[in-house]
Amino acid sequence: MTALLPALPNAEGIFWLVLTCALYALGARVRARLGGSLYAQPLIWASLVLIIILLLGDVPLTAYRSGGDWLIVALALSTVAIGVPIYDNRHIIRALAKPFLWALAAGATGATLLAVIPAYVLGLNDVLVATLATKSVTTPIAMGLAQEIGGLPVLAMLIVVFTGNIAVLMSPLLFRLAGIGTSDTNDIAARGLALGVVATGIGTAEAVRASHLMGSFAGLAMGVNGVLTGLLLPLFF
Amino acid sequence: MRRALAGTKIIAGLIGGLSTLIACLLAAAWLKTISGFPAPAPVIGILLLVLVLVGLKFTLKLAGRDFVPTGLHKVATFLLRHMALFFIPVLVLLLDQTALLHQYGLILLLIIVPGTALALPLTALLFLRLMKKQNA
Repeated sequence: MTALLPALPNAEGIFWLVLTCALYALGARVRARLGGSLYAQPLIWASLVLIIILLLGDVPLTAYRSGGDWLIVALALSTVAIGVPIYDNRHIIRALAKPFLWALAAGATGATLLAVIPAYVLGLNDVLVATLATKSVTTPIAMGLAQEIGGLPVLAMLIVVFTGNIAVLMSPLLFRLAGIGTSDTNDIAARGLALGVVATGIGTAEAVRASHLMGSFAGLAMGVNGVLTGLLLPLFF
Repeated sequence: MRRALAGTKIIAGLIGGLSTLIACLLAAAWLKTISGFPAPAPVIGILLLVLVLVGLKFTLKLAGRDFVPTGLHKVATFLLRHMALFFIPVLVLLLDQTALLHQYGLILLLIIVPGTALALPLTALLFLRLMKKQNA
């Protein structure tokens, strides 16, 4: 992290900041109207509308970032907040430590290798391979990690967010095919764990919406995975 | 009067919760700078937050009091629930990466989608298998 905080937003930056929040709130309301449809992700639609507005208005990205970068600070803060579900569920973690940690370690390693090996085989350059390696860690961590191991932080963020969205969109079908239901406690825990490890922040947000238990497991898996990968991955690059 | 007092207490709790998060992030950034530790600051922040909570719980237990950080809970739940909002500026940065995405977008897509489709159900199934083994 080079500078901890971006410069205070100017008037234009504040405008974009408020517009971003308003579009998100609108998106969330539309989604609630549609009965929480997976395809009505406020994140995707609000971003799309913003990108179109910025393109049509020929607004330089620096003008948007003056306000938008502050939301990325909030992202770092909300990452620290993962400590709360970890603390809350410490007893469950201790009880399920073995299966939880093994599945988490295998899932995280698998997800990373499933990205890095094809990239390597396809002959992508080292910077892109390093960037892809951060695919399954939560965004703020991926950004910092990409910086540490010589990848591209912005691309890393985009890849993580994209992975999260894709995973969330595919998850109902994939879990159904795998025979993992929505009523059994173990099944709920398994869904939360997988979403947290593979789909990180976006998966966790989705899991929180599904149930408190699934959300706790997702947040926990995302946090533990982020911490472990954040500590271990720099050793490999 | 009593209601106003309760309101003040809730607000104080929220400010306290938010300050705790900010303090953990700042402390983590500082620790990272002085130690040169390669983990990203928010990761160190998570560890610090858990340590602080465990420490507080322990201290208050010694004093014979229960510890429930309500304000921190409210703030953390709010931030985690609305994490999607904080991702919007990240997606907007796509605008700046058009050249890179043009060049590598398709291949990145081909790498990410199948890997994700495999990793998601396999992680869940592995956990269920291990759970069964532990309970057997």
